[in-house]
Amino acid sequence: MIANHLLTWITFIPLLGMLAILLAPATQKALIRGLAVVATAIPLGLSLYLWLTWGAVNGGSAQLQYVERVPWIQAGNFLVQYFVGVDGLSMPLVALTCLLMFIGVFASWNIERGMKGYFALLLLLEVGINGTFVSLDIFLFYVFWEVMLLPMYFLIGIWGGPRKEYAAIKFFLYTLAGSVLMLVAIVALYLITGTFAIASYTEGGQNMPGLLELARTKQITGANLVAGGVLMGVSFQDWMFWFFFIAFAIKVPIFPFHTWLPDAHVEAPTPISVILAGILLKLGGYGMFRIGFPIAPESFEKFRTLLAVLGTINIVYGAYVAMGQTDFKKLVAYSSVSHMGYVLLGAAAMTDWGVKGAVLQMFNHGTSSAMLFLIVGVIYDRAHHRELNGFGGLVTQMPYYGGLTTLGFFAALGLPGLAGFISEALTLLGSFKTYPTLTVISCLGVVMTAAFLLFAFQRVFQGPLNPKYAKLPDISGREVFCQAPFAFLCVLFGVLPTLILDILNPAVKQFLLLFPA
Amino acid sequence: MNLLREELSWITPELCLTLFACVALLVDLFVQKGRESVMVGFFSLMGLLATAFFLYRQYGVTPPAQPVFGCMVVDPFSTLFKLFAVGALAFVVLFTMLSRQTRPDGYGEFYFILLCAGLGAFFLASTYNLLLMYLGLELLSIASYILAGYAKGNRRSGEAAMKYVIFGAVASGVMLYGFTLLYGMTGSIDLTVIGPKLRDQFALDHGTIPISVATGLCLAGFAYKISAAPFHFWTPDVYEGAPTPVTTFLAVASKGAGFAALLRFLQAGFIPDRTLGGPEAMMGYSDKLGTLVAVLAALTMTLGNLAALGQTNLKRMLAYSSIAHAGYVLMGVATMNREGFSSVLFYLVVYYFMNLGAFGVVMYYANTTGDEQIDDLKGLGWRSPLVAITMVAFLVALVGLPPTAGFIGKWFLFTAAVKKGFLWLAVVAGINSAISLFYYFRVARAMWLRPEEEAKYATVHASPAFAALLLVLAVGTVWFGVGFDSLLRYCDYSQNLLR
Amino acid sequence: MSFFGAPVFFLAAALFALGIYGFMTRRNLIVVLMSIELMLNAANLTFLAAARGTAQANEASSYAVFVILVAAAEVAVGLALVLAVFRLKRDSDIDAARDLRG
Repeated sequence: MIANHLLTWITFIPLLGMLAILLAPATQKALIRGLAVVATAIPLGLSLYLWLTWGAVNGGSAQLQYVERVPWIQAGNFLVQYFVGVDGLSMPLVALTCLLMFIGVFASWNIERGMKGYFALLLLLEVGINGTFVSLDIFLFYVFWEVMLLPMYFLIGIWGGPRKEYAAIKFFLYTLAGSVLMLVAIVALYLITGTFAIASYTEGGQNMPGLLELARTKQITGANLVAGGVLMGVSFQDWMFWFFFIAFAIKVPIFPFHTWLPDAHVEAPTPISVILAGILLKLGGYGMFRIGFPIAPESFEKFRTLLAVLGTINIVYGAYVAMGQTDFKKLVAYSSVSHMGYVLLGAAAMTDWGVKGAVLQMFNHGTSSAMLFLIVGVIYDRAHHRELNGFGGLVTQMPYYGGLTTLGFFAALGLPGLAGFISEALTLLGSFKTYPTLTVISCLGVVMTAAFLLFAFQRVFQGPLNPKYAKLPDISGREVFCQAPFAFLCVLFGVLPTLILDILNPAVKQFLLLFPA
Repeated sequence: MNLLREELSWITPELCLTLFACVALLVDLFVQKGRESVMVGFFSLMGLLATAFFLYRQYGVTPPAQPVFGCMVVDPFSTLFKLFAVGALAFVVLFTMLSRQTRPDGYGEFYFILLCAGLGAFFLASTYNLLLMYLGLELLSIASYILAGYAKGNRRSGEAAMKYVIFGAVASGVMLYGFTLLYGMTGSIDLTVIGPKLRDQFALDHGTIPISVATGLCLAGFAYKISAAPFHFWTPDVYEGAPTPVTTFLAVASKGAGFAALLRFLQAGFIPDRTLGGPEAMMGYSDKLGTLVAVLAALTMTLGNLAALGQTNLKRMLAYSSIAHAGYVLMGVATMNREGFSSVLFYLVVYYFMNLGAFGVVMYYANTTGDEQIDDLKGLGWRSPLVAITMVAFLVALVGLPPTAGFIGKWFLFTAAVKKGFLWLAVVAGINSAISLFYYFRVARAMWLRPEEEAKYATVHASPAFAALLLVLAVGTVWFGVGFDSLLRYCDYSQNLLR
Repeated sequence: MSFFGAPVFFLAAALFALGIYGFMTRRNLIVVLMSIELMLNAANLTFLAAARGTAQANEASSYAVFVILVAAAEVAVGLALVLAVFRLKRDSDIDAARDLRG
């Protein structure tokens, strides 16, 4: 029974946990924490099962797995389905979400004020994220997509830093502005095609083409909605492409839309930063791969050079701004902007390696950035500030912490042997064929990333020990426990990338097939 | 005799409501001083319950259009709106019974007038007869004027009522004049006759200027009732000054009835019969009218939203928000087709839940603190979490985010507008929704983002009855965002006005 | 369409316009209420004029009676409210109503 509804369980067990937490008395702190651990541990276990049996179950095919499809809303022609399933693109991200949420609960151990609400919102967030990853119905996708916003607003706004209110509403407004555009595009898509299904399915022996299938066969022109499929001199496909792209670009975030990210990161409490960088940003990238690009393949073809330029700007600009930061967390935030640029660059390149690198980069950035934010959290908990210049020589005082930080930094800057290297190298190699100049410029970003990370390391850990922090205790067991899985994954996928590439391969091939050559 | 009984049986709900209005008035006379509010309120509720029962029974068996006495019409459309009005009235009565603002002596007649206003809404929703429409509107309006000024000795309430009566009288006068012009052109006050006559005139191609003038005057009256731009300016003052239960009534029941009449007016008079097919000129006129309404919709939502941004008073903010929502609903009206009108019905039901809830929270807050400032809500979330959580649900619905009914309502409005070719309108509405987040979430910010220590008031807990009311509304708001297929079918079934 | 050529129609239109004008320009609430009366009577006149000489003349008169009744009720309520405000503020000027702003 569990295997038949695996994705439903993964998605909705946190919701049950949330309800249980809401019913628990606020004074029973241990009970609430315990419930949160259980409600995140079960999906983690299930997603591990999903991952470990993946090859055995699907035997390397690109088919969607664990598909569930039941009508949700049915009235006349209006049919919204509860249609979920995973393929190689979404499955690793689901697993990553479950892991990050599980760790997020432990990273939130110190939260005392309103902890009942905190854990309830955290679990609701997990429902939204996992739901978005597994949705194969665009209406369902949108609902889950928006469900994420509310808990995020409160998690930043209530438990955040001094400018939390500004950061929270900015995050909310930016994302909502994007999703409103997406909504208009979804409405238009529905009116053109009459279906919400993203993937094709069979109903009563009859093949019902999904949106992607219709897009591939050039049936989404918009000619039945606006005359000739052209609106204000711009083709309907282009409108839709940009509406989706902006919605997802804000989430990634892509260069002109990125300004909410540093604010949100700096103000959010550590576990929320971890989740924000680790998964929420991936939703933007995932949305592009799942819907944004293949829904308008010709527009994508037309504009992909522009997207590659945007990706390059992200890589270089993010790294450049990060170099100038003295706030540890802001530095890591901008490094995220830089790293997510690879996703766009690799996707725009449209080569097997480029796309594979981009997808892998999403996963690897999920682990390495989560680790970096946890590292920042450790020092912030002890010193109560994040000023890079205010530290020094900590490596002698906190050797274990220093060691883990080294690993995290090296993973982030793409040292061979660690995960980040594989994905960045794949992306750059893949895009070199298509955009040699841009790739060369992007390599500059790699150098800059190395520079600002090593420089930051030097300022915090080397040099003379700042006497103010001579008594800082080293990293605690709980903190090590939080970081260890990410460190392990960074090393594992750095050494044995095939473990994950075998999963991605068929999905990427399938993705490339969605675009007429 | 049998015929009379047959016809009377169709208006049982109206008769029932009238009867109980009179009962409420009588009970008020005989009940001991100081207990009127509870007793009269109780009888009013009974009356509403009975009316709802009759309406519900009627809903299932209603024919497509059952004429009554040659001037009323009973169809699923009107029955749905009557149910809507009864539900809103029930909540308003409950709010009045629980509110301190309306607790003092002399509140017996309040319920009588409230039920009369409801009766006006009933007539407004179920007639094709322009005169009866006018009478229903006036019954609703005059009762509302009195209700708005019911807090005697309160300067703000008095001023609100005075502004309301002056602007309201002008608006209804303008509308009446428009009606008489239509009568002059067609020789009938029955919309079912006016429609074909207008079609003939279009066919003769007499020019559309007189028709445009008459329609414009009529639309001005409707726009006033639903507080659409440019006739919305009275709304914030009246909503702010009136006692909160009355504001709730105005924002929900009165506006709903206004939309009912507007839809019927447009449908009967100005939308070409799809099966018969209208003359080319009429099609063109209908589309032009739709475009005009679309422009008004864009204007209304933008003005409402921009003005709401700067508000510090919670009630006034909600008043502007209700203007903005009138703009969203007008999107559905602008389509001038069945699908659009169906989405209007859907949105109004949704609007009913979220606005009753939001005003309910305002009332609770004003009751316990005597304060209506948004900033003074600080820390309320930590002091009375239940009220604050339900308020967040209402706010989320008002912004139009899933998984609440507000999103689904907007979804259908957007779909109808885009399908009709108003893509620009959908984009404007989308941007407006994003803007509205900012002011709605100022309330959420005050309630939750400020620490408990900053709380201005040691809030007492909501009474169980009140908490239950809010919970019902919040559950409705969320439920219709997740399992809305039955509501969708009802709205579609009720919207069989258009052939 | 002949109706729009009749002189009495123009009289009614003029009355209506006068009512609107009075409402727009006058600040005294009593005068404003009078202007509203003027508008309603313009409507009445149109009703009667439109039906003059047709079979519906009687019907139209009954419509007018309804409108007169409503107008009376409206003015009654209006005057009462103006009076209530006057008692609170000692001023029947429309500009005195300025507690609600923003």
